[in-house]
Amino acid sequence: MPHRDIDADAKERWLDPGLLRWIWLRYRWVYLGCALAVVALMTLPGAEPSGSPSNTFIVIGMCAALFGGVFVVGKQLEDGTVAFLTARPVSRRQIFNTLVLAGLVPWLLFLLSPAPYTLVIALIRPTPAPAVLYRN
Amino acid sequence: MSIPDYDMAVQTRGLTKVFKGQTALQDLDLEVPRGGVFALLGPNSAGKTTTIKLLMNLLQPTSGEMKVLGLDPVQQGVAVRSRTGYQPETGQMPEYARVGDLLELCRSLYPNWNVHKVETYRREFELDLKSFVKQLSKGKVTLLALLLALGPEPDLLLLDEPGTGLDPLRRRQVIKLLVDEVAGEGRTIFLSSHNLPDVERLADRVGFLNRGRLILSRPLDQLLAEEKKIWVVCPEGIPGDLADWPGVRRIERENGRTVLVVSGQVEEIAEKLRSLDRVTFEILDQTLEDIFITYAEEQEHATP
Repeated sequence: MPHRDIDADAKERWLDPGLLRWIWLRYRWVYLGCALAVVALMTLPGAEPSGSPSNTFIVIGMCAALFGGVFVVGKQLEDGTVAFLTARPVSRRQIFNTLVLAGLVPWLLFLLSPAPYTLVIALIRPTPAPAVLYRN
Repeated sequence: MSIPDYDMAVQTRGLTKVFKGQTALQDLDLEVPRGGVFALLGPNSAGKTTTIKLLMNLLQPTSGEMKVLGLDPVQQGVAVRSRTGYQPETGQMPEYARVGDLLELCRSLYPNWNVHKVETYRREFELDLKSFVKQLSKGKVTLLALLLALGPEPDLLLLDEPGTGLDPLRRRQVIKLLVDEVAGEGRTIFLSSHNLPDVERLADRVGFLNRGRLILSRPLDQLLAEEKKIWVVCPEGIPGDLADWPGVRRIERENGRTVLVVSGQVEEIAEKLRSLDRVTFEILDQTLEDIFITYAEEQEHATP
C-alpha cells in the first residue's frame, strides 16, 4: 500500500472535512427532526399566510434551534466523542470548529426555513387564481 | 537541555506531570529504542496511563521534554498521532456510534489506513459493523480499540492495558497478533499492563514505575538473569553480615531456610557461600511477577 506524505497530511487545516461529514451524518436524524419541526411550526394554523414568519414562530424556532445545537454538542461531550477524537490525528482547534459547525446546523435550518416553508405552503395551500380570470 | 536525536521511538527527560498539587509523574527519564516491545509496569496510580497520555499529547507536561518518533508531541501533536496507534485503557469511544461508522471515520482521518488488514482483524474479532459501541462487551470494546490502533499502520503502538476484559483465549490471540505486528513490520510497541505473565511472553524490555518515579528500565532477559533467589541452608546460622553483601536486596525466612533475594552479582554471592563451611544453597529463577512484587514492596516500605 503506498504511503502518503504524513507531514503534508499533518499540516493543520481549519477544518477536517472527513470529521465534519461524520458528525453531520451521525446527527442526521436530529437535524431532520429540527427541519421538520421548523416546517411544522410554520404550517400550523395561525401561521402567517404571507410567507413571513410570525414573531411567535421566530421565538419558538430560535429556542428549538438553540436546544438542537446544544443537544448535538452536549451529546458529543457526554458520550466520549471528544475524548475519542483528541486521540486521533486532528487538532483541538479542528475538533472545536467542527463541533461549532455541527451545533450551528439547527440555526442554519431555522434561518433557511422560509424556503421549505414557502414550498410546503405552496403545496398544501394553493393560491386561488385571480378573480379577473373568471370575470368574462 | 535538549534531547539528542537518537534512533529512539520514545525519549523523555525530566518529564513531570502534576495534577492540582498531586505529582503523577516525576522526572521521568526514559529511552525506548525503535523496534521491539517495551512494557511499562507498576502498581495502580504509578503513572503509567499519565505517561502514555503525555506521549500522545492528551495531557500537557508540567515540565520536562519528550520526543516520540523524533517529534515533539507538544508542538507536533497531529503528526505524532498520525504515526501512532493508541489503545486507551477504558475504550474512550462514542457510546452511540456504530462500529462501522468509527472505522469509516478513522479511515478518513489517518493517511495510511489499511482497509484490508482492518477488515481481516474485524472478522477475526467478530465485531459487527452495525453494533453500537454501547452494546459491545468490555472485551469487544478492547478489541475494537486495538483494531483502531492497528488500522493506521503506525510506527509506534501505545497500548494501555491491552488485555482488559479479554478471556484467556482472546488474550493469547491478541499477544500473537502483536508479536506478528512487531516481527513482520518492525514497529515499536509501548504497553502498560498488570498482566505480568503476558508481559513476560511479549516484552523484550521492561520499566518499573512506582509513585510517578521510574525505578528501573532494562532488557527483560537481563532483568531475569540478574534477579534471582538463593535458598540457603546453614545449620550454624547465617553470617551476620549477609545483609551487607553486595547484591543482596533482602533476606527472608521460608520453611526453616534462608532465602536471599539478590540483584546482580549472583556468581559472586554463590562463590562466597561456597567458601562457608557446611552451607548448602540453590539458585532459583524468579518470574517477572516475583520481581515486580519485590520491587513494589520495597518501594512501599521505603516510602513513609
